[in-house]
Order: sequence, then C-alpha cells, then structure tokens
Amino acid sequence: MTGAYFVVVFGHGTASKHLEAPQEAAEYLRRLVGTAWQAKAARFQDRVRVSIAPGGVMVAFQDSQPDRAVELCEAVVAQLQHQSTTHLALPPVCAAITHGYMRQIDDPDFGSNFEGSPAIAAARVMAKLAPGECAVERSVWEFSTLLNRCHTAKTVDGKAHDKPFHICIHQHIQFPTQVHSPAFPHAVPAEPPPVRLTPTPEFTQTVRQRLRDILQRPHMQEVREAIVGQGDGTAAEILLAPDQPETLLEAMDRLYHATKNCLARLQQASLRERQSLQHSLREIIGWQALLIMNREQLQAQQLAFHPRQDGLKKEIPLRLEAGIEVLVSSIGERAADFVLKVDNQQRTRVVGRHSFQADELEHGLSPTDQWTGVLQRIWSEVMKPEPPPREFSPDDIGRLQARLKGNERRSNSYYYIAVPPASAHALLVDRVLIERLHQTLPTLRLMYLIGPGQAGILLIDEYDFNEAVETFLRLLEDRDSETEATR
Amino acid sequence: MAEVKRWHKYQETQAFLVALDISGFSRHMDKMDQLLAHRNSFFEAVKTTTLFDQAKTAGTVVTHFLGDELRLAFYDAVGAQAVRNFVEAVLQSLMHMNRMLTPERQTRVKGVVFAGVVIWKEWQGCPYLDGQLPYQAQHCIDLLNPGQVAMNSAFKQALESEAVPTGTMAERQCLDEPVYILYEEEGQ
Repeated sequence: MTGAYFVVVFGHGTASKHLEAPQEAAEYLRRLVGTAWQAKAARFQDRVRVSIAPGGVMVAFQDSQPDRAVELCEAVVAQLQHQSTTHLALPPVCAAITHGYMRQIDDPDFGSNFEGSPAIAAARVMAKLAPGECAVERSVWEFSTLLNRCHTAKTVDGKAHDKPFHICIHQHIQFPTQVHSPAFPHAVPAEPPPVRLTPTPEFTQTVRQRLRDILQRPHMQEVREAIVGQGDGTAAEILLAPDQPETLLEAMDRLYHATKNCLARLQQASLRERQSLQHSLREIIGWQALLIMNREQLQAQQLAFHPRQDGLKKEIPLRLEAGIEVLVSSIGERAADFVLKVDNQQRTRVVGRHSFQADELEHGLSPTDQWTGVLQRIWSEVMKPEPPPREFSPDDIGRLQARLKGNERRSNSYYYIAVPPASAHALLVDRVLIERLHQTLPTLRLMYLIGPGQAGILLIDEYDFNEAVETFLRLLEDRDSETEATR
Repeated sequence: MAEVKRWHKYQETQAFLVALDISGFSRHMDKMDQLLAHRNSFFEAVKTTTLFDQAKTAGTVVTHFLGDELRLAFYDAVGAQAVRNFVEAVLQSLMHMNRMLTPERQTRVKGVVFAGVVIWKEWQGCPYLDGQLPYQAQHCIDLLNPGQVAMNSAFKQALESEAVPTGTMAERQCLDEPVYILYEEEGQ
C-alpha cells in the first residue's frame, strides 16, 4: 500500500563522525524528539509512522500539507531553546524534510515501517547537514509555505551511486547549538510515556494469579485457610482481590485479620519460618495495593511512564509517598514494596523500599555542606556497607550511579525521590538542591507529589489506604523486632 | 523443566546481533517496485531459515528493520553455530534466488554478527535495538563489500567454545578492534 508522506529525519548530521559518545547522543536525540512529540501529542497520533536508526529518528506523516512535519521541527527547536537556558552543553541536532510517495510495510515478523525515495533522500541529506540546520529537500518546494522561508538553494552529494540532492535551508527552524560535550547526561529531558497499561479486568486476573501462587506456598497454608474462613467458600485470591474497588479496604482487612491470628500462633516458630511468612505477607499486601490504582486514568493522564527511563521527572496527583510506590509498581507490574519510616518529626510514613524522601535527604550527615550530605545519605543506602566518602570525586559519582542502575536491573525495582506537595512540609524542601541532585544522578527519578487532581487516579481514599497499609506493617513489625521498620 | 528465556524490553541481554544490509538499496530509490523486490527477497531468505522460525516461536529473537537493513538479536542460548548457520542460509538462499536474475535485480547483502549486550527498546511504538553493539555494527558494515559478513572477537570466541574452527578467517580493523570475515561470497 502506498501513500503520500512528508518525512522528517532528525540526526547529528556531519557532526556524527566526531561524536565521542554516539550512543548517548542518539539516546538524547530520541528523548528530545519524544518530549517535543509529547508536547503536541494529539497532533501526532494519527497517520504517522516512525523508524529508528542508530543515529537518527525518522517520522513519516501521511499528509497532503507539510504542517505537521514543520510543527514537529518547531517543537524540537522549542525544547532545545528551553534546555539551552538550563544546560551548558547541547548535542548537535539537524533535520531534513522530504515529500513523496512511499510504501507502507506491515510485516508480521519485522513490524511496521515505510520505504521509498523520501525516506532515502531524507537520510542522505541529513547526513550532510551542519549542526542546527533544517533542510527542505526539493520534493517539498512545491509547498510555498516552506519554500518562502528558505535560503538560496544548494546541492549536496549523496552516496557514490546517488544523484545529488537539491535542498534549501529553512530560515526560521534553527536548532540551537552549543559546544558539544562528549557526554551530556545533564541535558537529558524526560522521555514520553511508552507504556500501555494492561486494562483493569485483565490486571486483576494477573494479581489473583500472583496471590494464588503466594498462598500455595507451604508456610502460607494457615493464612490461606484463615482468609477462606472469612468468606462463603470463595477462593482466597478472589477475597483478597475483589472486582469492586469499593471493597478493597475490606479485602485488606481480611488479610489483616488472617495475619493477626496466624502470627499469634507463630510465636514459638523459628525466625526463618516467621521471616518467610512475613515476606509472603508483604508480597500479598504489595499486590493488593496495585488494585487501588485507576489504570485507565493513569494512562489518560500520561502517567504511565516507563519506570526504567532515566532522568524522569513527574508530577504525581497524590498526597502521600505510599501512592507513588503503588504507581511505579503498577506500571512495572510488580508488587509494591512498602516499609515504615519514622521521619525527623517523629511521624510514621509508609514509603517505598527504594524511595528517598526529599526532606529526609536534606538532613544529611554533613552539617556544613548540605550537598555532600545528601549524596552521603544516598550512598549509605545504596552502597552499604561501604561508608560514604567525605568528598565525592567523579569516580565516586560514577560508582554510585552504576550501583543504582545495577540494583534496579537485578531487583526489578526503581529508585526515586519523593518530593512532598507544596501544601505539606514543602518549606523544609530545597527544590533547587533536589534538582541539582537529579542532574548529578539522573537515574534517580523525581516524583513531585502535587495533591489530587480533578480526575483521581486512586479508586479509594488515599488516607484510608495509607492507614490500612501502615496498620498492617505495624502488625508485622510488632511480632518481630528484626523486621525492617526504618532504613 | 528449564525456564525458557525470552526477550524483555529495556533489559540488557547477552545476545548475538546479526545486522544485514541490502547492498545498493538506495540505487533504486525512484523505483518502488525494485525496492519492494529486494526487500521481499531479503525477508523471504530470512524467514525460510530454520533458526528464525524456531526463535520466533520460542521468543528468543527480536528484530529491528531500518528500511534497508535488518537487525536480528538472538538470545545467546541459541548457540553461535546456529547463528552462523543462519547467516550462511540467508546468503545461500539469496544466491539461489539471484541465479535467475540480471545483476541489477540481484539482491545482495553484507553485514556483521556480533556477540555482546543488546537492549530491546521501543520509541513511539517502534521497537528497536539499542546498546553499544548496534553502533559498532553500523560503523563496521560501511567498511564491508557486498557479500561479506564479519564477526567480532566475542562471536569468534563463542564459535570456538562450540568447537567450530575459526583459524583461517581474514582479519580487518573496525573502530580499532579486529573483526573477522565470517562469510564471503565467491568472487569477492
């Protein structure tokens, strides 16, 4: 099947040969274009195809006018302009626009793509451009809106067997360029949300399957029977993971009561037995918790980011840290992992095991250098038992960064900093300091709690949920002093 | 029963990366039927291999198509020898198809087979392969002639660990590292 397309390809042009870190540069480019794309997501939803090459991003719009192709270029320029105000180094970016008929490829084994002269010409022209340039190839000159904004035409050579390409350089679409740094982790913008969440009914089935697996463990027999005993013969996993969200608190209470009875009888059991039981119970509440999330709203509000993205900053329409843990776990489709933490105001908070609280971080170990103190706090948690350095060298930062990523990869968990809402104890939070930390350790996500929006992403009251989890964790801790309560 | 390893997005995975490029594809840029014919021949040659069929079913291969280049990342558990046989089968299949065609219509490929870490990712719904290997592959392919397939040291070692002899292979330099000519069409 063929159709008329406008092709835009973004790349590094002639600078690609001199990139010291081409992989990072390409990653940057994808994020940059992705962020620009998201800024006008509604415009770029339909009749668009994408192709990724190691050093470029090609977008094909099936349009009769070049408007959307130009808009995407302008959005990328806007992103770069925004970043140029806050970042010292930007990578080289250029683009080429072409037009013509192409064939759509939809192969069951090799996916969707497109082929034709516009794609080949765009790639060839882009490779010859200087950083900052946006070339309009001759195939687009018939559209006066573009031609009128071009410099005088010039010719660039293609490969040996290609004919030369005729282009003009767009006068207004100019990608800001600065001295290129070999690696530019600080210039990484947020990635668009690539995750498509499993719809709620199917996800509930997944949770039930997980609960069933846990409840079938030998040490869980008594708990399973205690849960079933609270129903009318319904399977335990259904009692714990009901279809109706309004009964989720009841389901959590069922787990609480079953746990209470079993733990009381386990006083004489070995430490190992109790720890196995506690571990399984934590997993159960972690899976149950995921059902409080309104997955459709999560998707609609573009909060379904990929948890493995680097440099992620998100505004989360919630009030409490427990909700963030549920959110990132829901997206990763893993059990939430809660721990209790007593903050410096002696308040007990339910937080994610791999989360850092912004206000806590600032109370670092170093009384004079707060920045070093914050890093030391993170180091103490991530690199334990190795003591934190007194001063951080680039090597230290590199090692910390690698350990953060390695731990995430191995344990399928995600480190993040929870920043409380402005209406709460935000006065204690130095947001500039937190931002600086984020730039130093870009794999640490920043989750800004901004308070609930109009369309809630939780299916039950956030405070009720938090209370239920906290009470359950307290129950586990009261029975065994070795349970992790604070980190 | 042993757990079947499948690809998961955004995870670093030990893999064999096969990157095959249709030589001179852009020569036909204004002839859409020629582009289609070359790509169809290429796809057909890949799809009819035993390994691709098995790996698709088992979920041990992911692909990334870039217009004139196809990248396939096989889980390293499939074995280096099986991957070498796959490349050979693709080239043999194309040679067989080419016999009936004039030189201009013949589909020829060149490429690399690298062992190392690959990450399967997605951007705006488009799956692609990331990591250091794909970048090295792109650079090294440019240095090859049509009909040549090169491998890196890691893949050579993987072959040797499966007792496949590699002693007589010609050596080239790519990005200051040696690559070895794994396959070369007759007449090169």
